[in-house]
Amino acid sequence: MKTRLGCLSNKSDSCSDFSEFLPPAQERTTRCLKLSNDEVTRWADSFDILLSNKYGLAAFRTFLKTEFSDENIEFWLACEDYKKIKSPAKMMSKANKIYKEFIDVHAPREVNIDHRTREETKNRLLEPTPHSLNEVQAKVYSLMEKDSYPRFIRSKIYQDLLNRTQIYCQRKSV
Amino acid sequence: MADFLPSRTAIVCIPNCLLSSGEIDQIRKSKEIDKSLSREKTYVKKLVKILLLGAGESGKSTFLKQMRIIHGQDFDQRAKEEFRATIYSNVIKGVRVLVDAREKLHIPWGNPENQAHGETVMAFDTRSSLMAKGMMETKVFLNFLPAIRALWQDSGIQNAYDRRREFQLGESVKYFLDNVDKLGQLDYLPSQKDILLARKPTKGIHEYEFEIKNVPFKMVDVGGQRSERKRWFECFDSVTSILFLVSSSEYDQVLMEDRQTNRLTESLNIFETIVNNRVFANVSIILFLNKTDLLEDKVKTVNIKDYFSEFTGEPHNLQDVQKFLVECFRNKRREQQQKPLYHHFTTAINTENIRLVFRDVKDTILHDNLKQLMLQ
Repeated sequence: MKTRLGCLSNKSDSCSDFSEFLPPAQERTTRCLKLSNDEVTRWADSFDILLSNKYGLAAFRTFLKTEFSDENIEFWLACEDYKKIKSPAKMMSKANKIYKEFIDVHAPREVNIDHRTREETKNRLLEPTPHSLNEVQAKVYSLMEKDSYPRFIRSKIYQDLLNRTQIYCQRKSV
Repeated sequence: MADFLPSRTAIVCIPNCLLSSGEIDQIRKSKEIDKSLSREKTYVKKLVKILLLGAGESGKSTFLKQMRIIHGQDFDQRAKEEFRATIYSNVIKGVRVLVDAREKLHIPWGNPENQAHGETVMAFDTRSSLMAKGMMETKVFLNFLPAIRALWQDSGIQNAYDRRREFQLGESVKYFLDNVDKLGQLDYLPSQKDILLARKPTKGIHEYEFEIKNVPFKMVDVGGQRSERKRWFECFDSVTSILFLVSSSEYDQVLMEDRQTNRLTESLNIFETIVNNRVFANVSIILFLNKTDLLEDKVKTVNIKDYFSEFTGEPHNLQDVQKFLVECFRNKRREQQQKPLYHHFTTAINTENIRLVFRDVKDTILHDNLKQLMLQ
C-alpha cells in the first residue's frame, strides 16, 4: 500500500513541478502571462525552437524527469556552457568534469552513446578545444529530438500549457 | 426590473468578498487532486502493468508499436511525418556506415566513380536535415537519392554489407535501401510496415495505456542499452508481468556499447538479474525470443557453435538452435521457481504474429492476475 501511495505521490510531484512554468496566481491577475499561446504553439514546430525558449526548455526538462531521462538535457546544457569557455585551464577542468559526470562508462549520469563515439570523445578531450564535445552533443541532441521530443508534444504537460495559454488569450480579448 | 439588478450584483460580489483568487485556486487544485487520487486508486487496483525489458535493439519499442496497431489508435498524420524523418535518418546514417566500413575493411570500389558519391554522403551534416520540416526533409533526402542509389548498387558497398556483423549496422537499413525510390516520392508517407521497421533508440522510461475488454493495460517501454538500464528500477513497482525480449538472431554479434561483449551473452546476463530478483517473485515473466525471421536466415550460414561451444545438435537446424536458446535462458534461474517460465518465438515486425502471441500472453497474464487477486 505504501508503494502505491509512493506511486501516487510521484504523480502529484509532477503536478507541483508543473507550477514552475506559470507565475503565481496572484501575479496572474495583475500582469500579463509571461507565455503566449503563440509561443507555446511554436514549440511544436521544431525541437530547436523549444530548446531556445527559456520556458520551453524548463517544460521539456520537467517532462524528461517524468521519463527518467533528464540527464540528456543536463548534458546538452553542460556542452552549451562548455562551448563558451575561453580559458584553456578552465576548459580542461570543465571537460574532465563533463566526461566523468556524463560520458564515462561508470558515469553517474551516463548518456546513451555508442562505443566509437565515447572513445573518440575521450581522445579529443586529451587536448580540449571549444569543439571537442560537438559530435557527442549532436548525438544526444538527436536522440532527444527523435525519441523524447515527439512524446513531449503529445504529453499532458505540453497540452495543459497550450490549453491554459489559450484560455488566457480568450480572456484578454474579451 | 430595476430591483432585480442589485441582487445579481450582490451574488457576483460574494466570491470576491469571501475568498481571494489565490484561495479559490487552491481549493480548486485541492479538489482536483483528491479526485485524481481517488480515480488513480481505483485504476491501480485493476490495472495490468506490463514491463517490456531486454537489451538494446531487442524489439521492445517495436512490440509497443504493435500494441498500438492492434489495440490502440493507428498512427496519425503527424506521427507518420515523424517516422518519415526517422526513416530518412536511418537511410542516410546506414549508407554512411557502409561507406565508412568499406574504407576501413579495405574493400575496393566496384565502380571507382562512386567514391565521389561516398564523399558527398559522408560530408553531409546529419543534424541540419533533422531540423528541417515536412517538404524540406523530402527535398534534402531527394538531393542525396542519386548518390544513395548508386552506392547501394556498388559491389564494394554490397561486400561491406555482407560483412555487417563486423561493424554496427541497423537491421532495417537493407529494407529501406531496397525501397529507396518509394521513400523519395514527394508524397511519401510511411506504411505500417515502414513504421514498424523505423529505428530510433528509446530514451528513459515511457508508458502506453490501452484497454482490452474493459481491462486497463499499461505497457512500460524502456531504453535497453547499458546506460539506460541504470534507471530500470524506477518502474519496478506494482508490476503484473514482464515481457523479456531477446534478439535471438544476434548470437554472432557484439554490443554497440563496447564492441566486444557478445549480444546474446549480454542478454542472458540481464535476464539473470531480472529473473532472480526477489521483487519479481510473484510476477509472471514471459520470454520473447524475437527476430525469429532473421534467426531462420542466420542458422543457414552461421554456426552457433563458433560462439557458444556448449551447443550440441545440428547448427543449421532452426528447432535445435531455438531449443538451445530457450535452455540457456532457463538455466539462468537459480532457485526452483514456483512460476513457470513461458516463452514464445516472435517476429515483432509481423503484426499477425504479435496479435496471436499477445492473445496467448494476455490470457496467461489475466489468468495469473486473477489468481493473485483471489489470494488477496
